[in-house]
Amino acid sequence: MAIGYPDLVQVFAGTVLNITGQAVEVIAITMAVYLFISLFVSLLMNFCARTAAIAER
Amino acid sequence: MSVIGDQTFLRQGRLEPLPPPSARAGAFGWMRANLFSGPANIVLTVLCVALIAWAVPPLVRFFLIDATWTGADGSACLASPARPNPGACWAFIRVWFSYFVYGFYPRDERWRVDVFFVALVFGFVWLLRLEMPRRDLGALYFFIALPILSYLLLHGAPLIGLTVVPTSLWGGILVTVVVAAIGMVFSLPLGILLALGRRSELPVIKAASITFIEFVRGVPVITVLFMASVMLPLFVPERFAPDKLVRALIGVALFASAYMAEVVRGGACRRAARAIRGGERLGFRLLAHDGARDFAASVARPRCRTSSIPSSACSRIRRSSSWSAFSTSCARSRPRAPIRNGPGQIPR
Repeated sequence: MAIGYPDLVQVFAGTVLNITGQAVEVIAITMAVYLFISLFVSLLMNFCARTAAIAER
Repeated sequence: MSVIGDQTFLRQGRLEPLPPPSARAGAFGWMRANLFSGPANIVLTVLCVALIAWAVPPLVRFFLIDATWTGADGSACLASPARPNPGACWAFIRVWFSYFVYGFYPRDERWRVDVFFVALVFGFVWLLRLEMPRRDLGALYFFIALPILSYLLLHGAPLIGLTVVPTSLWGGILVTVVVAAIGMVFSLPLGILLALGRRSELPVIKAASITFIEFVRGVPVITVLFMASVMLPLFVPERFAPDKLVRALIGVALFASAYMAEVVRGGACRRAARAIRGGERLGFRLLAHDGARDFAASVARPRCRTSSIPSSACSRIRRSSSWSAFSTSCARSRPRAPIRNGPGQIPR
């Protein structure tokens, strides 16, 4: 799989999936982790953008 | 013309113009104007020539000179004492080419795929070349006739004598093209709706759009596809469970539309902001109960579309190239709506 963060995907969709066999749950956890990272970074960037933005109107 | 005594010197014809100075003419002049016009250009030119000289000969050797063109089996392409550095294995490509294009599509039915490709290219050319006649008919053809034709051709219709080919036999470029086409066709209208919904003042619509967009953009496409293929059948009775390819197509369409929504929103941010504000002052509201259709159709949508076409094209190309390695990989990149603090920005 050539997705970003291969380490993370290997752990979830590789090791954990192989051991547990609970496909839906594992994929849901993978989604949750990615979503958390992504939204957290978005949040930080939004803070940055707000402090850097020139007040308009 | 001058007169000396009684002799008259008179030129009878027009002189040919002198050729330009040799420094400006011909190949040399062209090179001087285009390749060596300044220090930066000279450096770039030299670097590029060096790069070409460094890269091309090994590639030519690999692809042409050392390549294996014919062979009975894989051993023809392997390294041997006689050929220590074997090049490209074109024999393999030639043997497997039809598999790359059609997958396991039955051999006798492959003409249907060929017809589909030709019909698709015909539709593309008709719509994309501005000087083609009757492009309105072309749009009808592309968006209505072609999907029906494609379904009948690829899937099959026993009524008109085309045997059904289950999608599990499809493969190769065929699936890539189908997935990319579906993604493109559905992502634009859905994406525009989502982008407008995100700008809406109705809290439910706005929250739903933002949640959908941010959720889909925050998870890897492979998990979306997985969930689409596993979860979709759980919501309907078993005999209505959609075909596996259809499930993936639904996932792709939703995924692509979330990205397209941000592209459209970026375009709207940049260029249509003034028009949208003006429209709002005139009493229009985006996706509100009154005037929504007029405003969306007359002001916002054309503006959004024209100003976001370049980036939406990028996003589609990236998408269709990532679908080509469909089940095993995906390019995970998140195009962000451009953040501009110019006068054109819409405050969120």
